[in-house]
Amino acid sequence: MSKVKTNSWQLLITMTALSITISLYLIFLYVPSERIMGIVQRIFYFHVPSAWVGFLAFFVAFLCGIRYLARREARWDAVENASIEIGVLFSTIVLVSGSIWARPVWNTWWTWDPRLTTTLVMWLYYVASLLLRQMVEDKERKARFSAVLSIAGFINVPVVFLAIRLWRTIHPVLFTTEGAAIEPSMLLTLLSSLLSFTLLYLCLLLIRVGLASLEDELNNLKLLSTLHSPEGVE
Amino acid sequence: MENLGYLFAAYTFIWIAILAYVYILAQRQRNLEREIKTLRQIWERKINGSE
Repeated sequence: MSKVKTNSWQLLITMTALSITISLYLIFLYVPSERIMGIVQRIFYFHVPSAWVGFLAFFVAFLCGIRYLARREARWDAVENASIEIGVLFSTIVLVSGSIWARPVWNTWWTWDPRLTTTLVMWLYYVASLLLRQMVEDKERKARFSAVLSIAGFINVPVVFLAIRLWRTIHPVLFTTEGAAIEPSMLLTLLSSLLSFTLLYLCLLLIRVGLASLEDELNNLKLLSTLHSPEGVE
Repeated sequence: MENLGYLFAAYTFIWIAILAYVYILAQRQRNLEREIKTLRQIWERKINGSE
């Protein structure tokens, strides 16, 4: 890795760690508890950013899918696959943290509310697309198949976002046309957490893409060894 | 401090999920680097042996 790359990577890691520390301080020591829900409402400051990262990750995968189909360059497939994987991780966090939050507030772990149902459908779709990708052997076919799935799957994302605006739901609407419906200190804490999670997403994406290039290097070495040796190399 | 257990459970789950993912990625990276190193050594030995 070049020196510039190493320095940028260290800067990103430092910024992410600092940003998460500030967010945790704001969440647990600065922001007041919500009047009705009490202390459990603080789940909100990691729940909403996880949903944001999920949407962002699937959007990046959608863009990379289009780019791959247009250019057929393997690096777009690597970024797309990495982004879907991270999106699934953060969507899982949204579903589980939302369920834990729902228990004391709605008195149930799960309800077939439009927002919850559409989020679950989106999560199932992307988990299935990761599993289906593993079933295709040929590298180029795998990438093409995955690109189509990521483009088609992105239809889910605006549906999840608009579910609380289009249908009757018990899930609160945070951002309206009049602005954010929360107190300024809560908004500041939320914005800080959103920044932290976005930086965390970038870190994870870079690590995962780096892993994909190592996998490529290994496959190329194996191929080279097989081509130049009649016995093959195990 | 009502419902503190739920808050604790949610944050614990979030951190465990993220750290588990990072751990899996680190393990995979270590394994891949080890495999690449081994293959390179075999390859170099073959080249040196044929000279």
